[in-house]
Amino acid sequence: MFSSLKENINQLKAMVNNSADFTVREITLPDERNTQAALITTEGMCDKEGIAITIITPLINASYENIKRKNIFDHIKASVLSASEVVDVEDFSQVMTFSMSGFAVLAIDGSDKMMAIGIQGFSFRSVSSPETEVIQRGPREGFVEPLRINMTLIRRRIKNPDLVFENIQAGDISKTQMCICYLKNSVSENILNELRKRLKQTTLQTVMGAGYLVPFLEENNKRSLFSAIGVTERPDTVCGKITEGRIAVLIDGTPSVLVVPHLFIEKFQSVDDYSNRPFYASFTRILKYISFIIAIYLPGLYTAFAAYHPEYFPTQLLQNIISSVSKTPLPVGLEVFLILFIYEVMREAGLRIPRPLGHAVSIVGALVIGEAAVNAGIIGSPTLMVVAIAAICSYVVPDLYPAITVARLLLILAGTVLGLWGIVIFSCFYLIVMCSNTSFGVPYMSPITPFSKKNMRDVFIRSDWKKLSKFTQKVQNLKGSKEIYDES
Amino acid sequence: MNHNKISVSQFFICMFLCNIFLVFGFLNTLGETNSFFFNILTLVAGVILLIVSCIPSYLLYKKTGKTTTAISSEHSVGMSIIIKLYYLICFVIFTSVITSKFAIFLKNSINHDAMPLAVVFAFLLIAAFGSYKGMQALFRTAIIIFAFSLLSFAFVFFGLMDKLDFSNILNYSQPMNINISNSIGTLLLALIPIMSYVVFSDSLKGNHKLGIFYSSLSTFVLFLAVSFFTICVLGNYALFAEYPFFTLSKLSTISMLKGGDGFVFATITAVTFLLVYLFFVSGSKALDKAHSKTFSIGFFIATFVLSAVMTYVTFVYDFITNTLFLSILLIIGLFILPLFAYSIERMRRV
Repeated sequence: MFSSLKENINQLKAMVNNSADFTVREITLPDERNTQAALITTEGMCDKEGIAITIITPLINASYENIKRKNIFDHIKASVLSASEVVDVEDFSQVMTFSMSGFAVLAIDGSDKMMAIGIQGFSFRSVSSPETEVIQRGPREGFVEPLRINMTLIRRRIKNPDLVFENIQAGDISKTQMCICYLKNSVSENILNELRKRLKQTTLQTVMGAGYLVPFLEENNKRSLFSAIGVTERPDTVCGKITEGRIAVLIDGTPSVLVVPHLFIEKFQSVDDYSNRPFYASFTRILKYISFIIAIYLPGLYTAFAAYHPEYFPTQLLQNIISSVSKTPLPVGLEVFLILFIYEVMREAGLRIPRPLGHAVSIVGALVIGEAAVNAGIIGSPTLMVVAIAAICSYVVPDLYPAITVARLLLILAGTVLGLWGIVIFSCFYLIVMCSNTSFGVPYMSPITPFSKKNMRDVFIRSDWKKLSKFTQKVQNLKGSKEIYDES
Repeated sequence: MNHNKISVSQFFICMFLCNIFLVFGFLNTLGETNSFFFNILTLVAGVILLIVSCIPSYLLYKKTGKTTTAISSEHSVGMSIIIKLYYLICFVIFTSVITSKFAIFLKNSINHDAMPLAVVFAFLLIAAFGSYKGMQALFRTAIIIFAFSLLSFAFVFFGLMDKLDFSNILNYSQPMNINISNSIGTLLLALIPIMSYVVFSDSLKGNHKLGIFYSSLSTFVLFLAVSFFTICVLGNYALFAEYPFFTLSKLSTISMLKGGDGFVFATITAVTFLLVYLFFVSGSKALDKAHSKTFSIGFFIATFVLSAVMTYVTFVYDFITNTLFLSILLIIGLFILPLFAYSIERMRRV
């Protein structure tokens, strides 16, 4: 940086191409030499009242008697400013990053460095209950978009010096601030280093959401429908995961926090499970697994049975199905496919259209597509019923909805072409994909396979807190872990 | 933990599952034996045979810390190529036998429109993909299939409880004809998965002896349970059924638990697939070509071509599925080659 204020300002203006939101407030300090200073901010990112109270007023009213020109920078930093966060800045790129992150950067004529003052004041959504992870009992707080507030939400829950926040930047253009968060004495150094490496290797230009980073963090997961990276909007969930040795990646500008390593069984765990009594929590847990299986397999099995193995249906049901199938013009497989397709179209439309129109879509869906299509003989009521049950079941584990939707369609295809045999062989194929998958060296299907009896206490059945609190299982110590690190 | 090491329990769960196919697939030969008690004796002999068959490789690995193929590699290049090639050919033949027999079962019992070659193709293709993913994926997959098979057996056996007729055991008697040769054939076929043990010895960690014992015992218990239910529920009718186990599972459909045969069929498909997958992985292990795409494709092509020839040329099918031929292959692979490797290793040390 230059020691001349004017040259510094000109350089910065050139860097931002005279952008309209780049503001420079020039100030004359009341010292003997009337030293010039400038406060550089980005419009809308700072708290204007705070700037006036904590920066400008003290600068103008302070006494600079007997302060040498070369010491004025340190004097202002140490004795004049009342802001709590002041950081020295020594190059132009840092100035850009800080000013665009909501800091006010103070430049003083004659000094070849500047100071960034934490005075962020942009507007943001207040902390509220996350809509994507609804719970009955437990905290109502969810993450918001600003990174610093999310860090606070975690720190408030873990008041431990071992909790570490580490800043990282991603996105060549967006320069998005990220923060990896872990408990120093719980985390695996191997996993931590691997995460740092993968984050540094991202080749993204911009990072606008958590989903952008997921492919860069996953390993050998190209064919898997199930993501091996956890995403949550709940600070309590993140804190729970961190204590088990996991690492959270907080990204500025998104309320979604990534958690690694992430296992398949975690998709079925929710905060409510740990607030309810163990017997009820276990019941809901098993319910979720059964719903997941029904959501994936029911339409495919129905298609396979109706097309190839009608003897598997109970006799009375078989009669109804035969009478229904004989009245409809389409083959069963195509019929199931068609209803699922229409259902997905309606669901997508329901998500995107304005709320008042949502009712209209529901009416069209329920009356026209449902009842009228059955009455017209285009689709059979057993098929409609099967698809409806599968659709409801797929919402029991919302995290898995995208995977369920695709897997269900593939199973319908397998059932239509090859019958029950096709469904079994497709399942075997998919089991291989899932069982070979790992998340940062931890087997994705652990502790189901490789099987660990000790760790099954929170898989299908949720043990009571007395048992759970006896020891905290660190994720890196699960059976079959660390393989990728041992190889290297 | 070494990436290439697997636990003994994982390996033997896999072996147990593979034997389920053999238990089911060849149960009809039991029907031709003299009596129920004779069958039990045959089964006991089978368990002993299963355990004994592991001994040469077990001793070889315990004394030298090496497998047959590893020792041959150290001795001479020519011998190494011959022994590795031998095991590879064995696995190609076993895979073709298993897939072809399954395709015939599927066509005869489940779906008469099924194209056997298409079935074989799909099986082999997915197993090739699995072998590329490595043996860890195989053993992890086996655990889930194991849980599913337990559920299926519980489902079927529970559904048949009200149909048990113990008097069938006493009335179950047939004139002895080809019983002994059939029983020996059945038991020798149960040795096919044990062949994988020979090449996997150095990949196992933990207690081998217990693993072998539990694997054999669980296979025996399953064999016993299926035989018991078959004889008690079906009686002498079991002798006329092409696949008595499947007829048995069909019966559960008229009990309170309908759909039992669907479970049984799914289990058979899954464990047959597992067996094929095990042979793919064993082949790659025998050649030290784990995670090799080229090997997986090569093994897939060789097996598919042989299966296709078996499907269309009856003479080849009869020759390859011949009990005597398979027995010779097994005896060489399980006993002669490990003993030979042991003797040359001992001579080298002296």
